[in-house]
Amino acid sequence: MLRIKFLSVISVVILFSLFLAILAKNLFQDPQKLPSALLEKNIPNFRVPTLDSEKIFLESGDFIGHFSILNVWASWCASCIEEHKAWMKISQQDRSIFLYGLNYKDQKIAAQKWLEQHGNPYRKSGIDFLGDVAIDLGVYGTPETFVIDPSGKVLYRYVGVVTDDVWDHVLKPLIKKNKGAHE
Amino acid sequence: MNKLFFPRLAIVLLISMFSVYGHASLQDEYFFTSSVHQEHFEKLTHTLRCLVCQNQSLADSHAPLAQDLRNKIYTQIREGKTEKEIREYMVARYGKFVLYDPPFSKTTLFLWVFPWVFFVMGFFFLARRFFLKNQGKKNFLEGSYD
Repeated sequence: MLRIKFLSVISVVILFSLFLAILAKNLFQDPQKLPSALLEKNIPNFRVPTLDSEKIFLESGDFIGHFSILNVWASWCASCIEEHKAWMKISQQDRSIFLYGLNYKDQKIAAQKWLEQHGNPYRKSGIDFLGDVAIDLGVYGTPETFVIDPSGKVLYRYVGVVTDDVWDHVLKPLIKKNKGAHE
Repeated sequence: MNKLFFPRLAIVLLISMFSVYGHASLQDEYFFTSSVHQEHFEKLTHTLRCLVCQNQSLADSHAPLAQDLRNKIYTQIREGKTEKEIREYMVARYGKFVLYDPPFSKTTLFLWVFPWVFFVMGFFFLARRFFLKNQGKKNFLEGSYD
Protein backbone atom coordinates (compact mmCIF):
# COMPACT_ATOMS: atom_id res chain seq x y z
CA MET A 1 0.00 0.00 0.00
CA LEU A 2 2.73 2.40 1.07
CA ARG A 3 4.76 1.40 -1.95
CA ILE A 4 1.92 2.17 -4.37
CA LYS A 5 1.46 5.53 -2.74
CA PHE A 6 5.18 6.23 -2.96
CA LEU A 7 5.28 5.25 -6.66
CA SER A 8 2.30 7.39 -7.54
CA VAL A 9 3.74 10.42 -5.75
CA ILE A 10 7.06 9.93 -7.51
CA SER A 11 5.41 9.62 -10.93
CA VAL A 12 3.37 12.78 -10.39
CA VAL A 13 6.50 14.66 -9.33
CA ILE A 14 8.40 13.40 -12.40
CA LEU A 15 5.60 14.29 -14.80
CA PHE A 16 5.16 17.71 -13.29
CA SER A 17 8.86 18.54 -13.41
CA LEU A 18 8.96 17.38 -17.01
CA PHE A 19 6.14 19.78 -17.77
CA LEU A 20 7.93 22.61 -15.98
CA ALA A 21 11.19 21.79 -17.74
CA ILE A 22 9.52 22.09 -21.13
CA LEU A 23 7.93 25.40 -20.18
CA ALA A 24 11.23 26.67 -18.78
CA LYS A 25 13.08 25.74 -21.96
CA ASN A 26 10.63 27.78 -24.02
CA LEU A 27 10.92 30.64 -21.57
CA PHE A 28 14.59 31.06 -22.39
CA GLN A 29 14.17 30.84 -26.13
CA ASP A 30 14.25 34.21 -27.85
CA PRO A 31 10.82 34.59 -29.49
CA GLN A 32 12.20 37.43 -31.60
CA LYS A 33 14.38 34.94 -33.49
CA LEU A 34 12.07 32.70 -35.44
CA PRO A 35 13.11 29.96 -37.83
CA SER A 36 12.10 30.73 -41.39
CA ALA A 37 8.93 29.16 -42.75
CA LEU A 38 10.88 28.79 -46.02
CA LEU A 39 13.47 26.35 -44.66
CA GLU A 40 14.20 23.60 -47.19
CA LYS A 41 11.88 25.35 -49.64
CA ASN A 42 12.76 27.19 -52.81
CA ILE A 43 13.26 30.90 -52.65
CA PRO A 44 10.07 32.57 -53.96
CA ASN A 45 9.94 33.84 -57.51
CA PHE A 46 10.75 37.49 -57.88
CA ARG A 47 12.44 39.94 -60.22
CA VAL A 48 13.22 43.49 -59.14
CA PRO A 49 15.45 46.29 -60.52
CA THR A 50 18.67 47.00 -58.62
CA LEU A 51 20.28 50.07 -57.09
CA ASP A 52 23.00 49.81 -59.73
CA SER A 53 20.68 50.21 -62.70
CA GLU A 54 17.04 49.98 -63.72
CA LYS A 55 18.17 47.51 -66.39
CA ILE A 56 19.99 45.13 -64.08
CA PHE A 57 17.66 42.89 -62.10
CA LEU A 58 17.91 40.80 -58.99
CA GLU A 59 15.87 37.65 -59.57
CA SER A 60 15.35 34.15 -58.23
CA GLY A 61 17.55 32.76 -61.02
CA ASP A 62 20.56 34.57 -59.54
CA PHE A 63 20.57 32.09 -56.68
CA ILE A 64 21.03 28.97 -58.80
CA GLY A 65 24.36 27.18 -59.26
CA HIS A 66 26.22 28.40 -56.16
CA PHE A 67 25.72 29.08 -52.48
CA SER A 68 24.38 32.60 -52.00
CA ILE A 69 23.60 34.96 -49.22
CA LEU A 70 20.72 37.38 -49.34
CA ASN A 71 20.91 40.20 -46.84
CA VAL A 72 17.82 42.38 -46.28
CA TRP A 73 18.90 45.92 -45.41
CA ALA A 74 17.89 49.58 -45.53
CA SER A 75 19.67 52.89 -45.11
CA TRP A 76 17.21 53.84 -42.36
CA CYS A 77 17.96 50.69 -40.38
CA ALA A 78 20.30 51.37 -37.48
CA SER A 79 21.36 47.76 -36.95
CA CYS A 80 22.22 47.41 -40.63
CA ILE A 81 25.11 49.82 -40.28
CA GLU A 82 26.28 47.72 -37.34
CA GLU A 83 26.60 44.59 -39.44
CA HIS A 84 27.86 46.43 -42.50
CA LYS A 85 31.49 46.18 -41.34
CA ALA A 86 31.18 42.41 -41.19
CA TRP A 87 29.78 42.18 -44.72
CA MET A 88 32.59 44.42 -46.06
CA LYS A 89 35.16 42.18 -44.44
CA ILE A 90 33.49 38.98 -45.64
CA SER A 91 33.16 40.18 -49.23
CA GLN A 92 36.79 41.33 -49.31
CA GLN A 93 38.13 38.14 -47.76
CA ASP A 94 36.31 35.82 -50.09
CA ARG A 95 35.65 37.26 -53.51
CA SER A 96 33.95 34.09 -54.69
CA ILE A 97 31.06 34.62 -52.32
CA PHE A 98 27.67 35.50 -53.82
CA LEU A 99 26.39 38.17 -51.48
CA TYR A 100 23.21 39.89 -52.64
CA GLY A 101 21.33 42.68 -50.94
CA LEU A 102 17.62 43.36 -50.82
CA ASN A 103 17.04 47.03 -50.15
CA TYR A 104 13.87 47.07 -48.05
CA LYS A 105 11.37 49.95 -48.18
CA ASP A 106 14.01 52.57 -48.75
CA GLN A 107 14.49 55.72 -50.80
CA LYS A 108 16.65 54.85 -53.79
CA ILE A 109 18.88 57.90 -53.48
CA ALA A 110 19.36 57.45 -49.74
CA ALA A 111 20.30 53.81 -50.31
CA GLN A 112 22.77 54.63 -53.10
CA LYS A 113 24.39 57.30 -50.93
CA TRP A 114 24.62 54.86 -48.04
CA LEU A 115 26.55 52.40 -50.20
CA GLU A 116 28.81 55.12 -51.57
CA GLN A 117 29.57 56.36 -48.10
CA HIS A 118 30.10 53.06 -46.31
CA GLY A 119 31.19 50.81 -49.18
CA ASN A 120 29.25 48.27 -51.21
CA PRO A 121 29.78 44.64 -50.21
CA TYR A 122 26.96 43.33 -52.45
CA ARG A 123 27.19 41.94 -55.99
CA LYS A 124 23.92 43.73 -56.48
CA SER A 125 21.07 45.04 -54.34
CA GLY A 126 17.49 44.57 -55.46
CA ILE A 127 15.03 47.36 -54.78
CA ASP A 128 12.02 46.23 -52.73
CA PHE A 129 10.33 49.58 -52.39
CA LEU A 130 6.94 48.26 -51.25
CA GLY A 131 8.34 45.39 -49.23
CA ASP A 132 6.49 42.77 -51.29
CA VAL A 133 9.49 40.53 -51.91
CA ALA A 134 10.29 40.71 -48.21
CA ILE A 135 6.76 39.59 -47.32
CA ASP A 136 7.14 36.61 -49.66
CA LEU A 137 10.39 35.80 -47.87
CA GLY A 138 8.70 36.07 -44.47
CA VAL A 139 10.88 39.00 -43.40
CA TYR A 140 9.63 40.75 -40.27
CA GLY A 141 12.49 43.09 -39.49
CA THR A 142 15.78 44.29 -40.88
CA PRO A 143 18.45 43.08 -40.96
CA GLU A 144 17.72 39.51 -41.92
CA THR A 145 20.08 37.16 -43.72
CA PHE A 146 19.22 34.11 -45.81
CA VAL A 147 21.63 31.35 -46.79
CA ILE A 148 20.59 29.72 -50.07
CA ASP A 149 22.00 26.53 -51.57
CA PRO A 150 22.90 26.01 -55.26
CA SER A 151 19.46 24.59 -56.06
CA GLY A 152 17.81 27.76 -54.75
CA LYS A 153 16.64 26.22 -51.48
CA VAL A 154 16.68 28.27 -48.27
CA LEU A 155 19.06 26.63 -45.80
CA TYR A 156 18.91 29.12 -42.99
CA ARG A 157 17.61 32.49 -41.96
CA TYR A 158 19.41 34.65 -39.43
CA VAL A 159 17.43 37.45 -37.78
CA GLY A 160 19.49 40.34 -36.43
CA VAL A 161 22.98 41.71 -36.74
CA VAL A 162 25.53 39.41 -38.37
CA THR A 163 28.77 39.97 -36.49
CA ASP A 164 32.16 38.42 -37.28
CA ASP A 165 31.30 35.91 -34.59
CA VAL A 166 27.98 34.91 -36.19
CA TRP A 167 29.72 34.59 -39.54
CA ASP A 168 32.61 32.48 -38.24
CA HIS A 169 30.56 30.22 -36.00
CA VAL A 170 27.13 29.95 -37.63
CA LEU A 171 26.91 30.95 -41.28
CA LYS A 172 30.32 29.97 -42.60
CA PRO A 173 30.32 26.48 -41.03
CA LEU A 174 26.79 25.96 -42.33
CA ILE A 175 27.85 26.70 -45.92
CA LYS A 176 30.98 24.58 -45.53
CA LYS A 177 28.99 21.63 -44.21
CA ASN A 178 26.46 21.82 -47.03
CA LYS A 179 29.16 22.31 -49.64
CA GLY A 180 30.52 18.95 -48.57
CA ALA A 181 27.10 17.40 -49.12
CA HIS A 182 26.83 18.94 -52.58
CA GLU A 183 30.18 17.79 -53.95
CA MET B 1 -8.72 77.23 -1.67
CA ASN B 2 -12.10 75.68 -2.17
CA LYS B 3 -12.68 72.65 0.02
CA LEU B 4 -13.92 70.75 -3.00
CA PHE B 5 -10.83 71.45 -5.14
CA PHE B 6 -9.07 68.11 -4.64
CA PRO B 7 -12.17 65.92 -4.91
CA ARG B 8 -13.05 67.74 -8.14
CA LEU B 9 -9.51 67.37 -9.48
CA ALA B 10 -9.65 63.69 -8.67
CA ILE B 11 -12.89 63.29 -10.60
CA VAL B 12 -11.49 65.14 -13.64
CA LEU B 13 -8.36 62.99 -13.62
CA LEU B 14 -10.42 59.86 -13.28
CA ILE B 15 -12.59 60.81 -16.25
CA SER B 16 -9.55 61.73 -18.35
CA MET B 17 -8.22 58.19 -17.87
CA PHE B 18 -11.11 56.87 -19.91
CA SER B 19 -10.72 59.36 -22.74
CA VAL B 20 -8.11 57.21 -24.53
CA TYR B 21 -10.88 54.84 -25.58
CA GLY B 22 -12.18 57.46 -27.94
CA HIS B 23 -9.58 56.92 -30.65
CA ALA B 24 -10.50 55.72 -34.13
CA SER B 25 -10.12 52.06 -34.94
CA LEU B 26 -7.29 51.01 -37.25
CA GLN B 27 -9.86 49.20 -39.37
CA ASP B 28 -11.74 52.35 -40.35
CA GLU B 29 -9.44 53.09 -43.26
CA TYR B 30 -10.64 50.00 -45.13
CA PHE B 31 -13.75 50.17 -47.20
CA PHE B 32 -15.80 47.08 -47.98
CA THR B 33 -18.81 46.77 -50.22
CA SER B 34 -19.98 43.62 -48.49
CA SER B 35 -20.45 43.04 -44.78
CA VAL B 36 -19.29 39.45 -45.17
CA HIS B 37 -15.94 40.69 -46.44
CA GLN B 38 -15.79 43.14 -43.57
CA GLU B 39 -16.38 40.30 -41.11
CA HIS B 40 -13.67 38.16 -42.72
CA PHE B 41 -11.26 41.05 -42.50
CA GLU B 42 -12.02 41.68 -38.83
CA LYS B 43 -11.70 38.02 -37.98
CA LEU B 44 -8.42 37.53 -39.85
CA THR B 45 -6.71 40.63 -38.52
CA HIS B 46 -7.73 39.78 -34.97
CA THR B 47 -6.48 36.19 -35.10
CA LEU B 48 -3.17 36.76 -36.89
CA ARG B 49 -0.13 37.85 -34.97
CA CYS B 50 1.96 40.91 -35.73
CA LEU B 51 5.52 39.56 -35.90
CA VAL B 52 7.15 42.84 -35.00
CA CYS B 53 5.31 43.39 -31.72
CA GLN B 54 4.47 39.78 -31.03
CA ASN B 55 1.84 40.24 -28.38
CA GLN B 56 -0.39 42.27 -30.63
CA SER B 57 -2.66 41.10 -33.39
CA LEU B 58 -2.46 42.55 -36.88
CA ALA B 59 -5.60 44.50 -36.05
CA ASP B 60 -4.06 46.25 -33.05
CA SER B 61 -0.56 46.95 -34.26
CA HIS B 62 0.75 50.21 -35.62
CA ALA B 63 3.96 48.59 -36.91
CA PRO B 64 4.59 49.29 -40.61
CA LEU B 65 4.72 45.56 -41.37
CA ALA B 66 1.31 45.07 -39.74
CA GLN B 67 -0.02 47.85 -41.97
CA ASP B 68 1.44 46.13 -45.06
CA LEU B 69 -0.04 42.78 -44.03
CA ARG B 70 -3.45 44.35 -43.41
CA ASN B 71 -3.24 45.73 -46.93
CA LYS B 72 -2.38 42.27 -48.26
CA ILE B 73 -5.37 40.77 -46.45
CA TYR B 74 -7.62 43.55 -47.71
CA THR B 75 -6.61 43.06 -51.36
CA GLN B 76 -6.94 39.31 -51.12
CA ILE B 77 -10.42 39.53 -49.62
CA ARG B 78 -11.44 41.87 -52.41
CA GLU B 79 -10.04 39.40 -54.91
CA GLY B 80 -12.42 36.84 -53.42
CA LYS B 81 -9.88 34.68 -51.55
CA THR B 82 -11.31 32.59 -48.73
CA GLU B 83 -10.30 32.90 -45.10
CA LYS B 84 -8.52 29.57 -45.29
CA GLU B 85 -6.50 30.64 -48.33
CA ILE B 86 -5.41 33.85 -46.65
CA ARG B 87 -4.43 31.99 -43.46
CA GLU B 88 -2.37 29.58 -45.59
CA TYR B 89 -0.75 32.51 -47.36
CA MET B 90 0.40 33.88 -44.00
CA VAL B 91 1.56 30.53 -42.60
CA ALA B 92 3.56 29.81 -45.78
CA ARG B 93 5.53 33.00 -45.19
CA TYR B 94 5.68 33.47 -41.45
CA GLY B 95 5.13 29.97 -40.08
CA LYS B 96 2.49 28.72 -37.66
CA PHE B 97 3.66 31.29 -35.14
CA VAL B 98 1.59 33.85 -37.02
CA LEU B 99 -1.59 32.09 -35.87
CA TYR B 100 -2.76 33.15 -32.43
CA ASP B 101 -4.49 29.87 -31.83
CA PRO B 102 -1.72 27.26 -32.10
CA PRO B 103 -2.92 24.22 -34.04
CA PHE B 104 -2.38 20.73 -32.63
CA SER B 105 1.01 19.50 -33.85
CA LYS B 106 4.15 17.74 -32.64
CA THR B 107 5.55 20.93 -31.13
CA THR B 108 2.36 21.96 -29.34
CA LEU B 109 1.50 18.41 -28.19
CA PHE B 110 2.63 19.05 -24.61
CA LEU B 111 0.74 22.29 -24.42
CA TRP B 112 -2.50 20.59 -25.36
CA VAL B 113 -2.08 17.26 -23.59
CA PHE B 114 -0.50 18.11 -20.24
CA PRO B 115 -3.36 20.06 -18.69
CA TRP B 116 -5.65 17.10 -19.40
CA VAL B 117 -3.17 14.63 -17.96
CA PHE B 118 -3.03 16.67 -14.75
CA PHE B 119 -6.77 17.04 -14.70
CA VAL B 120 -7.31 13.28 -14.92
CA MET B 121 -4.62 12.61 -12.32
CA GLY B 122 -6.14 15.16 -9.97
CA PHE B 123 -9.53 13.57 -10.44
CA PHE B 124 -8.25 10.11 -9.52
CA PHE B 125 -6.37 11.51 -6.54
CA LEU B 126 -9.48 13.20 -5.17
CA ALA B 127 -11.69 10.21 -5.94
CA ARG B 128 -9.32 7.92 -4.12
CA ARG B 129 -9.11 10.14 -1.09
CA PHE B 130 -12.86 10.47 -0.99
CA PHE B 131 -13.27 6.73 -1.35
CA LEU B 132 -10.69 5.90 1.34
CA LYS B 133 -12.17 8.41 3.74
CA ASN B 134 -15.63 6.91 3.35
CA GLN B 135 -14.19 3.46 3.59
CA GLY B 136 -12.48 4.44 6.84
CA LYS B 137 -15.73 5.81 8.28
CA LYS B 138 -17.62 2.71 7.29
CA ASN B 139 -15.01 0.41 8.80
CA PHE B 140 -15.09 2.45 11.98
CA LEU B 141 -18.87 2.31 12.27
CA GLU B 142 -18.96 -1.38 11.55
CA GLY B 143 -16.41 -1.96 14.26
CA SER B 144 -13.78 -3.47 11.98
CA TYR B 145 -11.53 -0.50 12.60
CA ASP B 146 -8.14 -1.47 13.93
